[in-house]
Amino acid sequence: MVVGADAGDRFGIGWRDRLAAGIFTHLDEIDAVEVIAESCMDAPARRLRSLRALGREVPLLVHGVGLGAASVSPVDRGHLNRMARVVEALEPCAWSEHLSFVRSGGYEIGHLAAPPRSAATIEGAARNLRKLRDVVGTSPAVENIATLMAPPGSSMDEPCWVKAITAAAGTPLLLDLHNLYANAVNFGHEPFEYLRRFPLDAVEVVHISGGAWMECGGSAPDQSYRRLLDDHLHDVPDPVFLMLEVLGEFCPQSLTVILERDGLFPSMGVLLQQLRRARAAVAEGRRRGLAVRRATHELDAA
Amino acid sequence: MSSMRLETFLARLFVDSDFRENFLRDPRRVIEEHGLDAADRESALAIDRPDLLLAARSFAAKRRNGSISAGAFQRAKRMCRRMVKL
Repeated sequence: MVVGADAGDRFGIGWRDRLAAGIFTHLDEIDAVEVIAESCMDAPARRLRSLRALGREVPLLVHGVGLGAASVSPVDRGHLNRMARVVEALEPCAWSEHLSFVRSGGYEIGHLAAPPRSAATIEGAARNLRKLRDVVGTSPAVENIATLMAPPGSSMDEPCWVKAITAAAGTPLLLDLHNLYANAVNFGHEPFEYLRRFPLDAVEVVHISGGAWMECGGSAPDQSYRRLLDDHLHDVPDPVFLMLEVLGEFCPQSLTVILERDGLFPSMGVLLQQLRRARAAVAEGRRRGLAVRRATHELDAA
Repeated sequence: MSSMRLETFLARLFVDSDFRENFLRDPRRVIEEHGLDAADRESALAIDRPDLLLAARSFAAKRRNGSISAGAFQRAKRMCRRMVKL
């Protein structure tokens, strides 16, 4: 039984070229590195060799942002073939893609959009994810996304939809806690209750990151509202660390936690401090979970 | 029931500013022209307009920069305020 954050859990960081020196210098504190697949698709062979060499030092994960697997449309076969080549070249321990759609009818959104949460997109996602597994050779973990707009045409909420897709496709879940937190607070859900409704038994990888509040104030008080933007430009907020504790408590399986930062880079020391805090949060959750299980066992034995 | 037409409609709303403006001005006409079925028409009519603009701006910033820049973030905030005042 896993009892501590060091018993199989890994804490790593998303590879960004700006962070390269810091990552190489601090591999003693970094258990895993996640590479964006699309940044490697047209990369020279030398870059791929370098990343593969990094993978001999620390476990690598490959993270896709462009397949758009959660769609009624089939994924782009050319993009999928390029993904397969990246996975083959880097030999990561796992790879992942988002539960989003990124294109339809010739319109390239250029980023991750939330599709309608419906039976049709569950079926489409499961079909696409089976295709991904067949072409790449292994199933990707699938990631929940943040959205600033409630997806129209939805017949279920996000936790039910995510749970249905992971069950239908048999894929692990990459749970992005800041995406989850942003969707919860932006659309009126209690974040920790919302978290508990996701399929936590399927979680293998966790993303943590930060964002910023946008005050969308109108001229009248009843017109003002706020939206939390998941921008990866800010430090991980306290509620995300508390959610990590919850995962530590309720997920007995090993977790790989990745810190994402895309800009406004602080010093490496600040990022490493956030990794240490993540490590402590999961350890605290593990301790709490173990204490509960022991108490329950003693009660049953009495 | 979602459909490929609805996904295409949403994708176009996010990337085609003229289409989006027409939708904000006269949603029923644009929805009719796009050929959505009855259920998808109702879904499209229920789209929150300030949120749509915020999402479209966010996608545009990400297309330009790969991620949301600080400047794009400030522009999105200003746009959001303006939209709520309309």
